[in-house]
Amino acid sequence: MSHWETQLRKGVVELAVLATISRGETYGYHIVEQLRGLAGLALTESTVYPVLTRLARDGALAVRTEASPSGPSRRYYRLTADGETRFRRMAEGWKTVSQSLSVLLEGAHT
Amino acid sequence: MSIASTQLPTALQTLIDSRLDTIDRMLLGRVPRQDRVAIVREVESQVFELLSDRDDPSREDVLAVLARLDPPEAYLSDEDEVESASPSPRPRTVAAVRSGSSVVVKALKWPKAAGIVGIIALGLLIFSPQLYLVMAVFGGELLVCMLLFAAPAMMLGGAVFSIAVGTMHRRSGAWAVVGIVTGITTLTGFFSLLLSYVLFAGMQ
Repeated sequence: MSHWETQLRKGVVELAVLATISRGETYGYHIVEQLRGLAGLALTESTVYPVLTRLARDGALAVRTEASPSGPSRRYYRLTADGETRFRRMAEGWKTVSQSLSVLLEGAHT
Repeated sequence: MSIASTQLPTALQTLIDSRLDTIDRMLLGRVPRQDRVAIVREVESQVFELLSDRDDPSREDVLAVLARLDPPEAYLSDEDEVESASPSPRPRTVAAVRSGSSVVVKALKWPKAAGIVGIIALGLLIFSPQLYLVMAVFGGELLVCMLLFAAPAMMLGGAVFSIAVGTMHRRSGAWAVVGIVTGITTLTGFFSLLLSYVLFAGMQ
Protein backbone atom coordinates (compact mmCIF):
# COMPACT_ATOMS: atom_id res chain seq x y z
CA MET A 1 0.00 0.00 0.00
CA SER A 2 1.46 3.36 -1.04
CA HIS A 3 2.09 6.19 1.38
CA TRP A 4 -0.84 8.28 0.20
CA GLU A 5 -3.18 5.31 0.46
CA THR A 6 -2.04 4.76 4.03
CA GLN A 7 -2.65 8.41 4.86
CA LEU A 8 -6.04 8.37 3.18
CA ARG A 9 -7.04 5.21 5.03
CA LYS A 10 -6.02 6.65 8.36
CA GLY A 11 -7.80 9.91 7.61
CA VAL A 12 -11.12 8.16 7.16
CA VAL A 13 -10.82 5.60 9.96
CA GLU A 14 -13.04 7.56 12.34
CA LEU A 15 -15.72 7.97 9.70
CA ALA A 16 -15.51 4.26 8.87
CA VAL A 17 -15.91 3.30 12.53
CA LEU A 18 -18.83 5.68 13.04
CA ALA A 19 -20.48 4.42 9.84
CA THR A 20 -20.18 0.82 11.00
CA ILE A 21 -21.73 1.59 14.38
CA SER A 22 -24.45 3.74 12.79
CA ARG A 23 -25.94 0.52 11.41
CA GLY A 24 -26.69 -0.62 14.92
CA GLU A 25 -25.16 -1.48 18.26
CA THR A 26 -22.16 -3.74 17.87
CA TYR A 27 -19.01 -4.87 19.66
CA GLY A 28 -15.33 -4.26 19.05
CA TYR A 29 -14.24 -7.45 17.36
CA HIS A 30 -17.28 -7.41 15.09
CA ILE A 31 -16.42 -3.87 13.99
CA VAL A 32 -12.86 -4.95 13.24
CA GLU A 33 -14.08 -7.91 11.23
CA GLN A 34 -16.40 -5.72 9.18
CA LEU A 35 -13.75 -3.11 8.45
CA ARG A 36 -10.99 -5.61 7.78
CA GLY A 37 -12.78 -7.00 4.78
CA LEU A 38 -13.41 -3.71 3.00
CA ALA A 39 -11.20 -3.15 -0.01
CA GLY A 40 -9.01 -0.09 0.30
CA LEU A 41 -9.65 0.26 4.02
CA ALA A 42 -8.39 -3.01 5.49
CA LEU A 43 -8.49 -1.56 8.99
CA THR A 44 -7.24 -3.79 11.77
CA GLU A 45 -7.59 -3.84 15.54
CA SER A 46 -4.56 -1.66 16.26
CA THR A 47 -6.27 1.15 14.39
CA VAL A 48 -9.88 0.49 15.31
CA TYR A 49 -9.69 -0.05 19.09
CA PRO A 50 -7.86 3.21 19.89
CA VAL A 51 -10.44 5.08 17.80
CA LEU A 52 -13.30 3.30 19.54
CA THR A 53 -12.02 4.18 23.00
CA ARG A 54 -11.34 7.77 21.99
CA LEU A 55 -14.80 8.20 20.48
CA ALA A 56 -16.31 6.70 23.64
CA ARG A 57 -14.33 9.10 25.81
CA ASP A 58 -15.36 12.01 23.61
CA GLY A 59 -19.00 11.07 24.19
CA ALA A 60 -19.68 10.09 20.58
CA LEU A 61 -20.26 6.48 21.58
CA ALA A 62 -22.15 4.88 24.44
CA VAL A 63 -20.64 1.68 25.80
CA ARG A 64 -22.49 -1.24 27.33
CA THR A 65 -20.75 -4.29 28.71
CA GLU A 66 -22.30 -7.71 28.34
CA ALA A 67 -21.10 -11.19 29.18
CA SER A 68 -19.73 -13.04 26.18
CA PRO A 69 -20.11 -16.75 25.45
CA SER A 70 -16.49 -16.86 24.31
CA GLY A 71 -14.60 -15.35 27.20
CA PRO A 72 -14.23 -11.84 28.68
CA SER A 73 -17.23 -9.57 28.53
CA ARG A 74 -17.92 -7.74 25.29
CA ARG A 75 -18.17 -3.98 25.05
CA TYR A 76 -21.08 -2.98 22.87
CA TYR A 77 -20.95 0.43 21.20
CA ARG A 78 -23.74 2.61 19.86
CA LEU A 79 -23.85 6.20 18.64
CA THR A 80 -24.95 8.88 21.08
CA ALA A 81 -26.74 12.01 19.91
CA ASP A 82 -23.35 13.73 19.70
CA GLY A 83 -22.02 10.77 17.79
CA GLU A 84 -24.91 10.94 15.31
CA THR A 85 -24.23 14.62 14.71
CA ARG A 86 -20.54 14.00 14.31
CA PHE A 87 -21.15 11.13 11.91
CA ARG A 88 -23.58 13.14 9.78
CA ARG A 89 -21.17 16.08 9.61
CA MET A 90 -18.26 13.85 8.64
CA ALA A 91 -20.34 11.94 6.11
CA GLU A 92 -21.44 15.19 4.46
CA GLY A 93 -17.83 16.36 4.32
CA TRP A 94 -16.73 13.09 2.81
CA LYS A 95 -19.50 13.19 0.17
CA THR A 96 -18.52 16.70 -0.84
CA VAL A 97 -14.85 15.82 -1.17
CA SER A 98 -15.66 12.58 -2.94
CA GLN A 99 -17.96 14.29 -5.47
CA SER A 100 -15.42 17.01 -6.15
CA LEU A 101 -12.69 14.48 -6.75
CA SER A 102 -14.97 12.41 -8.95
CA VAL A 103 -15.61 15.45 -11.13
CA LEU A 104 -11.87 16.07 -11.36
CA LEU A 105 -11.10 12.48 -12.16
CA GLU A 106 -13.78 12.29 -14.85
CA GLY A 107 -12.09 15.11 -16.74
CA ALA A 108 -8.61 13.75 -16.24
CA HIS A 109 -6.71 11.56 -18.67
CA THR A 110 -6.05 8.36 -16.73
CA MET B 1 -17.28 -26.93 25.29
CA SER B 2 -16.39 -23.31 24.76
CA ILE B 3 -13.51 -21.76 26.63
CA ALA B 4 -15.97 -19.50 28.41
CA SER B 5 -17.09 -22.34 30.55
CA THR B 6 -13.57 -23.24 31.55
CA GLN B 7 -10.39 -21.43 32.41
CA LEU B 8 -7.40 -21.53 30.12
CA PRO B 9 -4.39 -23.33 31.58
CA THR B 10 -2.07 -20.89 33.33
CA ALA B 11 0.69 -21.32 30.74
CA LEU B 12 -1.66 -20.35 27.89
CA GLN B 13 -3.17 -17.48 29.83
CA THR B 14 0.37 -16.27 30.51
CA LEU B 15 1.08 -16.24 26.78
CA ILE B 16 -1.96 -14.07 26.19
CA ASP B 17 -1.21 -11.83 29.16
CA SER B 18 2.31 -11.33 27.90
CA ARG B 19 1.00 -10.01 24.58
CA LEU B 20 -1.55 -7.81 26.34
CA ASP B 21 1.14 -6.42 28.64
CA THR B 22 3.32 -5.59 25.65
CA ILE B 23 0.47 -3.71 23.98
CA ASP B 24 -0.17 -1.91 27.27
CA ARG B 25 3.49 -0.86 27.42
CA MET B 26 3.31 0.39 23.83
CA LEU B 27 0.40 2.59 24.76
CA LEU B 28 1.83 3.71 28.09
CA GLY B 29 2.33 7.44 28.20
CA ARG B 30 0.66 7.83 24.83
CA VAL B 31 -3.01 7.42 25.64
CA PRO B 32 -4.92 7.94 28.90
CA ARG B 33 -4.90 5.00 31.29
CA GLN B 34 -8.64 4.43 30.95
CA ASP B 35 -8.29 4.14 27.16
CA ARG B 36 -5.29 1.86 27.53
CA VAL B 37 -7.26 -0.51 29.72
CA ALA B 38 -10.18 -0.46 27.28
CA ILE B 39 -7.94 -1.15 24.27
CA VAL B 40 -6.22 -4.05 26.01
CA ARG B 41 -9.60 -5.48 27.06
CA GLU B 42 -10.78 -5.31 23.46
CA VAL B 43 -7.70 -7.19 22.29
CA GLU B 44 -8.18 -9.80 25.02
CA SER B 45 -11.80 -10.17 24.03
CA GLN B 46 -10.73 -10.61 20.40
CA VAL B 47 -8.24 -13.32 21.38
CA PHE B 48 -10.96 -15.27 23.13
CA GLU B 49 -13.37 -14.73 20.21
CA LEU B 50 -10.75 -16.23 17.89
CA LEU B 51 -10.17 -19.12 20.27
CA SER B 52 -13.87 -19.79 20.77
CA ASP B 53 -14.12 -22.36 18.00
CA ARG B 54 -11.47 -24.53 19.65
CA ASP B 55 -12.83 -26.95 22.20
CA ASP B 56 -9.65 -27.29 24.15
CA PRO B 57 -7.13 -24.73 22.91
CA SER B 58 -3.54 -25.90 22.78
CA ARG B 59 -0.41 -23.79 23.00
CA GLU B 60 -0.21 -23.90 19.19
CA ASP B 61 -3.77 -22.62 18.92
CA VAL B 62 -3.01 -19.69 21.19
CA LEU B 63 0.20 -18.90 19.32
CA ALA B 64 -1.66 -19.07 16.01
CA VAL B 65 -4.29 -16.65 17.27
CA LEU B 66 -1.64 -14.28 18.62
CA ALA B 67 0.13 -14.43 15.28
CA ARG B 68 -3.06 -13.28 13.57
CA LEU B 69 -3.16 -10.13 15.67
CA ASP B 70 -1.41 -6.92 14.77
CA PRO B 71 2.06 -6.75 16.33
CA PRO B 72 2.22 -4.59 19.47
CA GLU B 73 4.32 -2.00 17.59
CA ALA B 74 1.34 -1.35 15.33
CA TYR B 75 -0.29 0.46 18.24
CA LEU B 76 2.47 3.05 18.15
CA SER B 77 2.24 4.39 14.62
CA ASP B 78 -1.48 4.06 14.12
CA GLU B 79 -2.35 5.89 17.30
CA ASP B 80 -0.05 8.74 16.30
CA GLU B 81 -1.70 9.06 12.93
CA VAL B 82 -5.14 8.78 14.40
CA GLU B 83 -4.29 11.42 16.96
CA SER B 84 -3.25 13.88 14.28
CA ALA B 85 -6.36 13.12 12.28
CA SER B 86 -8.59 13.64 15.29
CA PRO B 87 -10.54 16.90 15.45
CA SER B 88 -11.24 16.57 19.15
CA PRO B 89 -9.01 17.89 21.91
CA ARG B 90 -7.04 15.27 23.88
CA PRO B 91 -5.61 17.14 26.81
CA ARG B 92 -4.67 14.04 28.78
CA THR B 93 -2.78 12.38 25.99
CA VAL B 94 0.96 12.35 26.35
CA ALA B 95 3.29 11.20 23.65
CA ALA B 96 6.40 12.07 21.79
CA VAL B 97 5.33 12.29 18.20
CA ARG B 98 6.25 13.80 14.93
CA SER B 99 5.24 17.31 13.85
CA GLY B 100 1.66 17.75 12.74
CA SER B 101 0.19 16.24 15.84
CA SER B 102 -0.31 19.56 17.56
CA VAL B 103 -2.79 18.30 20.11
CA VAL B 104 -0.37 15.69 21.38
CA VAL B 105 2.48 18.18 21.40
CA LYS B 106 0.31 20.43 23.55
CA ALA B 107 -0.05 17.59 26.06
CA LEU B 108 3.69 17.15 26.09
CA LYS B 109 4.17 20.65 27.43
CA TRP B 110 3.70 19.89 31.11
CA PRO B 111 6.48 17.33 31.63
CA LYS B 112 8.77 19.39 29.42
CA ALA B 113 7.89 22.54 31.35
CA ALA B 114 8.70 20.74 34.61
CA GLY B 115 12.11 19.76 33.27
CA ILE B 116 12.97 23.18 31.89
CA VAL B 117 11.77 25.09 34.95
CA GLY B 118 13.72 22.67 37.16
CA ILE B 119 16.89 23.25 35.15
CA ILE B 120 16.43 27.04 35.31
CA ALA B 121 15.85 26.88 39.08
CA LEU B 122 18.98 24.79 39.54
CA GLY B 123 20.92 27.13 37.26
CA LEU B 124 19.79 30.09 39.35
CA LEU B 125 20.99 28.34 42.48
CA ILE B 126 24.38 27.48 41.01
CA PHE B 127 25.01 30.81 39.35
CA SER B 128 23.35 33.10 41.89
CA PRO B 129 26.68 34.15 43.54
CA GLN B 130 28.14 35.12 40.17
CA LEU B 131 24.88 36.87 39.29
CA TYR B 132 24.97 38.92 42.50
CA LEU B 133 28.56 39.82 41.80
CA VAL B 134 27.83 40.96 38.26
CA MET B 135 24.79 42.95 39.39
CA ALA B 136 26.72 44.51 42.26
CA VAL B 137 29.44 45.66 39.89
CA PHE B 138 27.31 46.74 36.93
CA GLY B 139 23.73 47.03 38.14
CA GLY B 140 23.72 49.04 41.32
CA GLU B 141 22.18 48.47 44.73
CA LEU B 142 18.54 48.53 43.70
CA LEU B 143 19.03 45.73 41.23
CA VAL B 144 20.96 43.69 43.80
CA CYS B 145 18.16 44.14 46.35
CA MET B 146 15.57 43.09 43.77
CA LEU B 147 17.66 40.08 42.89
CA LEU B 148 18.09 39.23 46.54
CA PHE B 149 14.36 38.59 46.84
CA ALA B 150 13.46 37.67 43.28
CA ALA B 151 16.08 34.96 42.75
CA PRO B 152 15.20 32.87 45.85
CA ALA B 153 11.50 33.24 45.08
CA MET B 154 12.06 32.07 41.51
CA MET B 155 14.27 29.23 42.73
CA LEU B 156 11.78 28.00 45.31
CA GLY B 157 8.78 28.49 43.06
CA GLY B 158 10.51 26.79 40.16
CA ALA B 159 11.67 23.88 42.28
CA VAL B 160 8.23 23.30 43.79
CA PHE B 161 6.60 23.61 40.36
CA SER B 162 8.98 21.16 38.70
CA ILE B 163 8.63 18.62 41.51
CA ALA B 164 4.84 18.86 41.54
CA VAL B 165 4.35 18.76 37.77
CA GLY B 166 7.13 16.21 37.32
CA THR B 167 5.51 13.94 39.89
CA MET B 168 2.08 14.28 38.30
CA HIS B 169 3.51 13.34 34.87
CA ARG B 170 6.22 11.00 36.15
CA ARG B 171 5.30 8.29 33.65
CA SER B 172 5.49 10.62 30.68
CA GLY B 173 9.19 10.37 30.03
CA ALA B 174 12.56 11.89 30.74
CA TRP B 175 11.48 15.52 31.07
CA ALA B 176 9.29 14.75 34.07
CA VAL B 177 12.16 12.90 35.75
CA VAL B 178 14.49 15.82 35.01
CA GLY B 179 11.93 18.12 36.63
CA ILE B 180 11.74 16.02 39.79
CA VAL B 181 15.51 15.58 40.12
CA THR B 182 16.42 19.21 39.45
CA GLY B 183 13.61 20.43 41.68
CA ILE B 184 14.73 18.29 44.61
CA THR B 185 18.38 19.24 44.04
CA THR B 186 17.49 22.92 43.96
CA LEU B 187 15.44 22.73 47.15
CA THR B 188 18.15 20.75 48.94
CA GLY B 189 20.87 23.12 47.77
CA PHE B 190 18.86 26.21 48.64
CA PHE B 191 18.06 25.13 52.18
CA SER B 192 21.63 23.90 52.73
CA LEU B 193 22.93 27.31 51.73
CA LEU B 194 20.34 29.03 53.90
CA LEU B 195 21.24 26.85 56.88
CA SER B 196 24.94 27.47 56.34
CA TYR B 197 24.30 31.20 56.19
CA VAL B 198 22.19 31.15 59.39
CA LEU B 199 24.81 29.11 61.25
CA PHE B 200 27.58 31.32 59.96
CA ALA B 201 25.68 34.48 60.94
CA GLY B 202 25.01 32.99 64.39
CA MET B 203 28.69 32.40 64.94
CA GLN B 204 29.57 36.00 64.10
